[in-house]
Amino acid sequence: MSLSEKTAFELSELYRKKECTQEDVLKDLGIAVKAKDRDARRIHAYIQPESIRPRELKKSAASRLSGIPIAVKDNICVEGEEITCASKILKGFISPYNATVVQKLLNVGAVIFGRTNMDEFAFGSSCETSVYGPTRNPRDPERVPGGSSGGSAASVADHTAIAALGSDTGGSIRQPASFCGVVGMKPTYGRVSRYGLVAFASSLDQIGPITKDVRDSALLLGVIAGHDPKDSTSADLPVPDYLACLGQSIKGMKVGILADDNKEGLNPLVRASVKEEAQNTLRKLGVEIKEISLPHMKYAVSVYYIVAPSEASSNLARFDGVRYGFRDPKAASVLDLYENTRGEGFGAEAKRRIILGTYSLSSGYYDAYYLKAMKVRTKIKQDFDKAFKEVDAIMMPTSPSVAFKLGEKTQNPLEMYLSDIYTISANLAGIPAISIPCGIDGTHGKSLPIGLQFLGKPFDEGTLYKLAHAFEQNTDFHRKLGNVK
Amino acid sequence: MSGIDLRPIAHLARLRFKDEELKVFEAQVNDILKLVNQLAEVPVEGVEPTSHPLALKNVFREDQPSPSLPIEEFLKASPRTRGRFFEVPKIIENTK
Amino acid sequence: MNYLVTIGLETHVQLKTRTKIFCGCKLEFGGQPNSHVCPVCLGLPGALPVLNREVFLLGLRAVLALQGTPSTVIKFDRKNYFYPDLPKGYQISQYDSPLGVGGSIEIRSGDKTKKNTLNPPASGRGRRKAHP
Repeated sequence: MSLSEKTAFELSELYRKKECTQEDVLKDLGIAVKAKDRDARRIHAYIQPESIRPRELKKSAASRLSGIPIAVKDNICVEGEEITCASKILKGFISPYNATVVQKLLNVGAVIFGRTNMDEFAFGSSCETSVYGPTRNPRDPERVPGGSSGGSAASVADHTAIAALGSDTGGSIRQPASFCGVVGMKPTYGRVSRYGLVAFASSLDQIGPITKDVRDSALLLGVIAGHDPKDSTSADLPVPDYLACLGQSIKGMKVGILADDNKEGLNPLVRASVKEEAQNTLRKLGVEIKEISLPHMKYAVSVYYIVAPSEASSNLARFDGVRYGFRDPKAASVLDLYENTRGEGFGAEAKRRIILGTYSLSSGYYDAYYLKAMKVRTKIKQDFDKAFKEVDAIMMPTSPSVAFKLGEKTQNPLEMYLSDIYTISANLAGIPAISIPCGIDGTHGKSLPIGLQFLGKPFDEGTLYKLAHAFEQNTDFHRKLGNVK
Repeated sequence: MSGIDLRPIAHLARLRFKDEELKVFEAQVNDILKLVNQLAEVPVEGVEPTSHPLALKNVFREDQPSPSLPIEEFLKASPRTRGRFFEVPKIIENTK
Repeated sequence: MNYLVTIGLETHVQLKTRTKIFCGCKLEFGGQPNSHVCPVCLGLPGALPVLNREVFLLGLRAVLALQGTPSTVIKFDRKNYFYPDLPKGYQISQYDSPLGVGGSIEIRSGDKTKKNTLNPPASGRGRRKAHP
């Protein structure tokens, strides 16, 4: 068996027992990438083969991540690497600094193993808007891997990465994890530093791990989490030992389910896996399932599609061709410089979001749109505060569907936005949420994974790992899907 | 709601669009705004807006210099430079 | 026709700190342009600002020296516009919850003294409650 098919934790054990070396792992991973990423399946999880330049700083015996290759999404700065956010406007930008999460990985001797494909500037739920072309779902290459961290999820599912980092603003870690059948964790806002993450929406973004199983997720989050003085939105709270949370009994835990959830468009197999089978599994493990209500969740998509584009329109103002990236060489005036560079450098979805955001923030509309959305955001957060007085965690599907076909939703942005219904609220409320596989849809001739989501209290990732691990060990989907062999 | 004219917004955002592109955008943005208009029905009297989900206060750094890189390292990334500067087309127009 | 000349002075006063307001780059008046720069003040992708404590303290001192009223809640906002010397495409500024309001400054010229009030309370600035 190729070492590329191991988990990070398994590799750390092999290293300890001296049964393989780091070079062996990199060799097997390199073979896997050559064989699978660019072949007829055209999974294309990585931006280009050249983006894979394994680099590590110092070996550290102290960490289980020492010598482990980690793939990094193309919106997280790595010193000396081209970072483009899958956009023309950043082509040629070589970052002169490391994101804090990257520095933390390097400090424990992990290996930064290449950049994964994404939706341009993280705007998207399908990984179809990248300037490099789409990434395909390894479970069915005619389908999308999800987005925006599609490359990170696909590489982990395809065993062309041991583990990966993604970013999540409205579901961009969890939804691709769900579509690709792997584990994706969006930490509490402020749990992980955003310094070096190219900002999309500053009050929503978080970096998080995408892994083959829950144990690897706990391992990776434990390394990248923590206070960062360079990020004034990062929480000055100690990082718990997430690995110690695994294997504990979940008997007596209370998990909330949505009472008012009769969404049309919810795939019946998703409904069956999440609402029936998953709940039964949890009950057998001694969990009490309680109905809770999140009355403002139905406004979440509207709030998000004002708040996120507004923040994005401001965060993307720095892409003007002056100091880095693409510039229209023919521009004769400063106005031309801006308009041509940005008009040509940004793709359609990026332009659409910038326009939406600029409109919401402009004079005359600010109160009705942005300010109003911020107030409804408060109500959404209050709904969760109230629910968490009754339950320890909340469960719901990650996505209303399994992976859809490439091109199926590109003509209708609104339809794409509406499919974020289950993931968006966690970002708005700033709470942690994890997606794990809970079922397989075999009705299309392929094994398409179904994702279950657990949402938790702020900074209570430990409870989510406890729950998710127990569920995983009792349902074995990570083995059924071949993530762990 | 009547269609919106995106040209002033495009200018605010310094984005150039072809006319056909702008028409497609106007239709799509209209649809999205129809959806978000549902927020008008939510009562929010007395509700404070949330701009940050983690209400941190008084986060400072000390007034101590931290090391950085010489400008040459940053100029490497720029499409056009002159000496120690990033170069752009002239700003001040000749007025007639 | 007689004209009355009225001259307004917009005064920017630089705070005497060792480093910049949002990053650890040194301040050096008279230094070479672009000699103290970093990812934050150059607006590189992914860079984030952190407020200099001394800016806050000196600013507060100025408010008190001018006999103004320090605000109990202050916040920063983004003023978005495009200009080549504005790396992020926005200025981090204070819109409706400034460090302080009110106060005055006396100006003497010959035997005349004039008291100029600053941010008169009637303008409403500083009144709007900041949100978290």
